[in-house]
Amino acid sequence: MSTPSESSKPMAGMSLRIDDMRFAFRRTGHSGTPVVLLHGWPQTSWAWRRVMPLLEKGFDVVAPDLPGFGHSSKPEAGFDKRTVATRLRALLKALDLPHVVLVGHDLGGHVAYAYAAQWPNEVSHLVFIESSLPGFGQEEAMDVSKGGSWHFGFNMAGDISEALVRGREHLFVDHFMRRETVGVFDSGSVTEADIAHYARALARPGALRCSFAYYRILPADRRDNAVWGRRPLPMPVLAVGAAGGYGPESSRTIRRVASDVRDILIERCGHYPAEERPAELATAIRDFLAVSPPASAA
Amino acid sequence: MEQTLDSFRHAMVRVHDVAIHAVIGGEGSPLVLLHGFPQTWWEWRKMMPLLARHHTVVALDLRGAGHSDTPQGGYDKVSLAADVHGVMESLGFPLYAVCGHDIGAMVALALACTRRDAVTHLTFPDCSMPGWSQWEANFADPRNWHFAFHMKRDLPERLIFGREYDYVSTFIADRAYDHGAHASEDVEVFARAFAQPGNTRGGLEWYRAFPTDRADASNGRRHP
Repeated sequence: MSTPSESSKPMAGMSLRIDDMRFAFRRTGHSGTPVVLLHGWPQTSWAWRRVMPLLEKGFDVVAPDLPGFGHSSKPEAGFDKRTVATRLRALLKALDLPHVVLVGHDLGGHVAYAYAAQWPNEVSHLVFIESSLPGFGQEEAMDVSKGGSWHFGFNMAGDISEALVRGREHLFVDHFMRRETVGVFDSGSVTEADIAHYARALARPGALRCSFAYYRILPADRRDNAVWGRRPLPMPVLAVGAAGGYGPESSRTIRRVASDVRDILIERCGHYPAEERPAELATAIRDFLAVSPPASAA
Repeated sequence: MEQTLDSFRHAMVRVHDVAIHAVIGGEGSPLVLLHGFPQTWWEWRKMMPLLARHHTVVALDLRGAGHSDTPQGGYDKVSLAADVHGVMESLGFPLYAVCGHDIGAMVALALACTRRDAVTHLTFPDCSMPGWSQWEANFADPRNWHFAFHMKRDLPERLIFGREYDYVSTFIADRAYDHGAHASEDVEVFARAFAQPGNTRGGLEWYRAFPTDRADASNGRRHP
């Protein structure tokens, strides 16, 4: 057993071959309600290293590396969130987890939404952390003429973005996690070793290509979301914002596609609550699940 | 390696505390040529001999590019226009026509607005202007992702460093119609110039000054 207080103890890693790809994931707890943690860009399941020990009591916690990230395969295609969610569902079926609580951060929030929208009866709860959906608010973050971030266009630009970042993955990850605008509130909350962990993952062959492919396909995601968005999500949703990140944006965007939403804002925290405020985040998730217990699970 | 054209001379012209590289030749009414990103005066190499039959042609490297100086500031288009006017005055041309491309077109427009007594004619192919119609739409156009990337401070310099040829060649190839028009040696000329110490920053500074340009245009537009 890992000690819940130790924040950087790595969770056991494992992998399964699902169809045409290898899915890497970390798992802890193993009994109780299944909680699936989906990391953001440009990260891996390592992002949940401090949250997983805090949830293992009472939950079966699974944190995959999304296709193309970490130790998962680097597919040729299929980075629209509809396909990513379909692949993820195959993994969860293989793990015999037909009903889950989905927790998504950033890009993982896009995947979680695509999953919950397609299979609402299989997702008891959705936790939507520091994310903004294509078609429902993300465009504002992308519009550089109104102060949006440069990286959307850069990430979507094509091969040149890979050519510029290759060999400089550490610089690139470090920039994002420590950026002035929404980077970590406390510079010590993410260590050089953590940055190096993500940078190494991004330096693996194909990883940059996949990482940018998640952005290049955003127009397709926007079309899917527009269709799914006509029918609000039925399950309870917790929107988690960070005061030093995108603030109320997660709540604002998910309220446009869900009917049962509550939200919290974590203070003294940048865009990476799982790494900066793991205790607050874990408590928020526990409280959320306690107030409206999973009906179909367990 | 120096780029030269037959019967054109080179000069370093001091304008206040900045040295501007100018290439001068031909006879007739004066015409100044202003290049775009990520280029230098060499952009005009094919047109200069043709234009020199009827004009005294001055092609210069903008502040931040080629052999011109790359100071810390002064990359708003009004300041770049003042550089151009200073060069033309020093060379003895108080009245002149201006042709600008891309960033050079923004400078040409700023020059025409601020020195309307000196500019006789104005030509600018293929460019929209900060603060003028279509600018915001252009900014949001995904093809113009480089606007925001270039405006980001410091990080682009780090990512482009040592990869200037990749960046410049991709930049030109993505935007060219006739790919035969850009010989790889010419792309190398631009890439080497862009790789000169300070010049990557210099070229990016033109973009970082857009907010200033936009404000200047809003003021200048009140007097057509």
